[in-house]
Amino acid sequence: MDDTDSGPYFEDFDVGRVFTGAARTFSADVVAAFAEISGDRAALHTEYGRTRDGRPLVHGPLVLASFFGWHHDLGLSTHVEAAFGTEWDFVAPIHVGDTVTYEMTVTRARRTSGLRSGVIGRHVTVRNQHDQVVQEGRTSALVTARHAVDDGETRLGRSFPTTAWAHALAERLEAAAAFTTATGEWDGTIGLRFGDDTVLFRVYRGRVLECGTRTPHAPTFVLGATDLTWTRLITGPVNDFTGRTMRGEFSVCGSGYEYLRLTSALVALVDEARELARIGSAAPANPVRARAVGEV
Amino acid sequence: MKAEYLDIGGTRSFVLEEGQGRGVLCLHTAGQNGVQWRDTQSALAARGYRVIVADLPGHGRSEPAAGGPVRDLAEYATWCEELIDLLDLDRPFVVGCSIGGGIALQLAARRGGRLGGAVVMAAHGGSDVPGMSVRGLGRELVDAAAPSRSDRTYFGTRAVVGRSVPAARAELIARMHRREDPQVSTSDLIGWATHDVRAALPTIACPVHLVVGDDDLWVDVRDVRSTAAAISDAQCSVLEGVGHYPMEELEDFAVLLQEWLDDLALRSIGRQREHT
Repeated sequence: MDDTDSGPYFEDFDVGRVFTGAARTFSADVVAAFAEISGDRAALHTEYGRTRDGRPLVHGPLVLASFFGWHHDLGLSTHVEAAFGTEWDFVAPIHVGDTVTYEMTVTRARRTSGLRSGVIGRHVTVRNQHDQVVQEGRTSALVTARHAVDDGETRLGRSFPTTAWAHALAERLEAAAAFTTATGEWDGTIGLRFGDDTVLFRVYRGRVLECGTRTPHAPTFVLGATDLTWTRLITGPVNDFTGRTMRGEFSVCGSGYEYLRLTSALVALVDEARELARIGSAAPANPVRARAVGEV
Repeated sequence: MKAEYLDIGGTRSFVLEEGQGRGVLCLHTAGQNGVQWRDTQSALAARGYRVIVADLPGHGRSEPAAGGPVRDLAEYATWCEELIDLLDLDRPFVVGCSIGGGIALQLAARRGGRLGGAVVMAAHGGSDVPGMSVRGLGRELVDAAAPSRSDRTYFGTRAVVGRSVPAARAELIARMHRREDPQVSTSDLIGWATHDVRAALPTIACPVHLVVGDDDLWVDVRDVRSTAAAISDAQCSVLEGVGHYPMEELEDFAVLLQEWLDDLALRSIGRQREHT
């Protein structure tokens, strides 16, 4: 078998799929080596930390860089052509001797116009040995496609938040009694924000007149969350939208009144988005946990 | 089962009584009423208890509180004390859930020496991180600022019923919770948000059993554990797959409750021996 046949292609990174793998410990030697390579020889990383036992801090970018090593070790990098935008939050300190695990969730997948590759978005959660989240990141990559075909139609259900996805969802909403009843006396525009991207649905008396990124009037309200939250909500085992709002995973700007007024309409919208994701994908609705390569 | 309207604290209050034996006063959650105990009451009475289920003022079949919707759980605790005295209950147990649990804890703090013990579910003695803002709840009291209340109660209830509860049961619980007076429930929640008896916890003179479901999004298990740690004789149970309403969610809740009450009774006897 040709080498290029092994390892996942663009088509294998289904939105909602979760990857986990082996843990990594950051020893004093590794941290010292990173201090040399990066030139960040600050005492915080080389001599003492602010913990009671004085252990130095691991460089945040070392843990970030090690994500890409983890990705390679799992065999996921075989067909990666380039890394794109990477945003990383250093949530809690990591000290020399700490052990971390990476969990990577695919949150977006969009085939490029040339069809030979695609861009996948990933959310990465880094936890320490106490299961505490220490870093969170969002990073995308260009990955070669197995086949250069236009499969946009079959991938539509998990292509949020593209305009094509919004149109498919709008079509479902107009046919869903729970949504049309709840918005039967409503006139406004619902905005859904996925990370930095917002998609709008112009609704009038249960009908979706238009959807996309612009409408003549501003949205009545915009409901926003991270790509990770939307991915888990839309591809997860149950519609737990209300629970996620209670846990503070969503934010709303614009009219809070109209947002509350549409409580049941939004639950119905999520139901339809989940159904669209289910029928539009061969993958099961539940995120798949891939086993690490070499894991026993 | 005996149903009565009793004058308690100036409110004609609806009280259901069943069984004979040690008194057990059951307290419902915010905005709800004694119907939450319908499965527990007869089953527990059959096990040898005098089970009293009352609708707090403004709830269920009780008339509204004379001074308007209650915003302080201490007022409900006073009402419960009158009820206990009126029924002449000797060292009763108090079992409450959510605000009912908060009220049970306030009763334990006030007159623990005259209680057999308290089962405090889905509640704690106070938190540094209140889940709700009093200002936000105040806005909710203005009807024009609080749309889709019934839907929010329904979906909010569904979200805090535990994962182990069958879908049909969860649906029933949530549909029944729609039957509320939003003015009363929101005032109850102000009482919940401002409930803080942490200073009094070390003085509680009866055994307490704190119970919290691990699917309860309203209550942080850490707050429940720290409440238990501050009480001289307290136990803490975390129920797996259960949410904010154990007595409505668990099919055989009365069996579980009896185990807890038996345990409280043993501990209570132990305490009395220590003091004599």
